[in-house]
Amino acid sequence: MSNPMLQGPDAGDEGRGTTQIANEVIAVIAGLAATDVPGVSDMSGGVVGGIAERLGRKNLSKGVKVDLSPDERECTVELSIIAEYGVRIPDVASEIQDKVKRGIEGMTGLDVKAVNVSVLGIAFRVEEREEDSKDKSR
Amino acid sequence: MANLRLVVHDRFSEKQGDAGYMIDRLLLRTYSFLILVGVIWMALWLIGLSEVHYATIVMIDAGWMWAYTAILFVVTLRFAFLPLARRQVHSFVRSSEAGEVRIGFAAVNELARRTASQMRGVARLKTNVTESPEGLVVRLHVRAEAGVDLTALSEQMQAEVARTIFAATSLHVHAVHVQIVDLAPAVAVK
Repeated sequence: MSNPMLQGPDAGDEGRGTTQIANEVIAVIAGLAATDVPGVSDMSGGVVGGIAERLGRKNLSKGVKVDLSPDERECTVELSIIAEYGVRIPDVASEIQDKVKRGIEGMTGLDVKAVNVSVLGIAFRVEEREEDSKDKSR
Repeated sequence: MANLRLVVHDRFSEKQGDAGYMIDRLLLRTYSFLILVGVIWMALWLIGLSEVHYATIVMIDAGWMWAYTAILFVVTLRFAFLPLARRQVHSFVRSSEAGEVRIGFAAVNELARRTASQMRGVARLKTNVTESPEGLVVRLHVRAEAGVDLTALSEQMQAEVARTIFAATSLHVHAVHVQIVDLAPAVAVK
């Protein structure tokens, strides 16, 4: 896994050293920013991610993939989400792109080249499902 | 939805799961475990613990050895000759400066299914979403409840499904075809 090297302005002269940020950390930042957006029900981690969560392992980078450029100065983020029923998906996706970009750039100094959002499913509230099953049984 | 195009892309599989990917991961872990057991067994003999090595041969039933060999053989074939499962996802994609927004067919299908199934008079429902040059085409195969005005139900489904999909995704729905395939029997009143 390649890591971006972030250096302070005078790192070379004063020997402050380097800062390395793991891809996993960038993915967590992106995941937290995305789940904070209203209209996002969950990140799409698939069956394996779901099993891991049921076993008690909280995966904050679920559904997130980060690709770093060769010079490790910019990144592309891929997110897969489950959207809530009733929201306007393009608006939610646009807000995700904005928040993730600001979050990563603000916390890591990396340039975010693109944030690609895939909406893989729609989630419905439990109350709606229960009402439906009651209606069907009448 | 401006700059819209339909693409089929490989869903990245490093952290995503689907049935084929999960099965491959399970097979890989099984394969690793079986290899480890075999290595330990051979190592016992190599390091001089031949008594333990031969004792295991006596203890283990021939059936278990055949099962071990068969599983190892099948899994080896799977990884040697068949490509690993990759899922291709159909999505509607809109590109912008910030990146791409991909709305999966499954999500659109679920929107249509959910909207139509909530309507009174629908007993059971199957949906199918396809794409045409004029826009989305939604097909609903409906098992309706007895006594329902089927024409009114169909018109209501067409209007609601098209409206809901457009409101949620900005995707234009060209047509909603409703096919009433069956009637559910009337529920007996006590």
